Amino acid sequence: MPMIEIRGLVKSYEKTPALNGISLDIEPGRIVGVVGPNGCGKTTLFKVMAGLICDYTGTVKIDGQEPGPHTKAVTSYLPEKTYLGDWMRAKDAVDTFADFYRDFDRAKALEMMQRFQLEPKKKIKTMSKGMQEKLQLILVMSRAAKLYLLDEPISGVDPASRDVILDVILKNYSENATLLLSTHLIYDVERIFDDVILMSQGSIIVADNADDLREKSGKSLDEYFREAFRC
Amino acid sequence: MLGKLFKYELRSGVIIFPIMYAAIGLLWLLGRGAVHFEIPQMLVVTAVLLFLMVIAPIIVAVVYTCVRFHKSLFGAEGYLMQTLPVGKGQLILVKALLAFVLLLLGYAAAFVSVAALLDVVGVEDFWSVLKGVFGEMFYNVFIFIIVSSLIQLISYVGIIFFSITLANTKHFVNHNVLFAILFYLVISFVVGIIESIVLLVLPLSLKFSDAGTTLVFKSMAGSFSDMLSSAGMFVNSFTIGLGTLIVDVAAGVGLLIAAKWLMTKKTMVK
Repeated sequence: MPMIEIRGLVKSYEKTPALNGISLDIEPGRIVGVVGPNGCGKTTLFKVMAGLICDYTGTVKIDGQEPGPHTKAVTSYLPEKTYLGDWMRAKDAVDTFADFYRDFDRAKALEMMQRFQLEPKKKIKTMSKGMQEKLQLILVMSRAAKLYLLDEPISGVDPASRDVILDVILKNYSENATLLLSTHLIYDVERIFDDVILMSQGSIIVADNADDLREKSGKSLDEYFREAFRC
Repeated sequence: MLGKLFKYELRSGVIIFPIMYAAIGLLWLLGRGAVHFEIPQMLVVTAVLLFLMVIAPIIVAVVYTCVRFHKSLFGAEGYLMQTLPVGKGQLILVKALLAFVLLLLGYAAAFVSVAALLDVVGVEDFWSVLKGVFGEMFYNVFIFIIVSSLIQLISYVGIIFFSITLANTKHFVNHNVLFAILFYLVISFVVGIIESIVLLVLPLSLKFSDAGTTLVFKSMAGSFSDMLSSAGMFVNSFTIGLGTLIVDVAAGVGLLIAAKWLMTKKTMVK
């Protein structure tokens, strides 16, 4: 059974189409890059899978079920936004994840926080945006989820931090899990992808194995991407 | 999961209410001090502040309920709340229970402020005056007012939650705050009209008299007409229709269910 099964997914904002009849199957245990320029529908696709957007047409199944409590229990989602309540301390965020997710590893989260010098008692609203993003990444990657949805985890951070973030992701995701990572900075991450989904204007224009795509095109994924979206 | 959600909500900032109760206590002490040491300026200031504390807790409770519901489900925090492995019904239920408790705390704080204000300004026979007006019916009327206020909170919470949820559907989400206020006003008006009609025509009322309180299967309009035709009856008894309370419960529960349906099928987190 595919981990993600999507058929004819359509979503629009007012009169602007965001996803135009997307169909997609993703098998368990794959690392998939969802790439495309800004506004191509990557975030909307992730939000539908995470259960944040409900007014779509088509079928979406995660682990065999439509988005709901079960799929949320097996999906670890990192949005673009910083979302932790401003009343929280870092420790409260850890407690919240430990309370709600059975697959959350508190010890792992605290160990990573220590490594990144994040004070558990520090109020989230006093943290810099970068620190908040690191905390969210730690929380998300401290779960042994079946599916990780990481929406632009490396945009907006400096190149040195990108390597650190990728390191955290690769060292902490569960081996048999499916990992979807969206980005428009392909050069920095293409080495980790098993498969690639290239999106443009709400549609999938390429969905292929990363090595096959490199071989067929004779280019790196980054070069292929730049060529596909050259104005 | 309900317990965990409730714990999360409680930790999210209800600290404001203990602070308000402490402030009322402090003002009462200052007022008593002003009376004891005969400092009229301080007495006036504390009396004014206590008067403001009659209104403030209710405003704080209402604003907190609206802002918290909107921010935690449809603001940035919605990315956390709405990806927790709990049903939308559970989310709404917990938030409704908490809103109910907070509004209750707000009303209670207002009541405490009134009592403190009356004590400070020396109106000792306030309760005696009320008892004089209602006679033997006083306690029953008092209980009825408390119970009906609690029941009204159900529709109040339902209207707030439904308005905010509807404002976060596709066609309204770009101006969600404006639409939430607009929906609240329109729905409140419609519910108010229905309440008034049902209050008058539904043949189910409570009759308060010195002999006690009885359930009567008569509409309030009918009872009012009887009362007018028999002079002097109002002094010893009066009737209140129960239609408003029935509409409150039906509207509150119905709107909470509708909000849950909208959240499951039609909303999006921006």
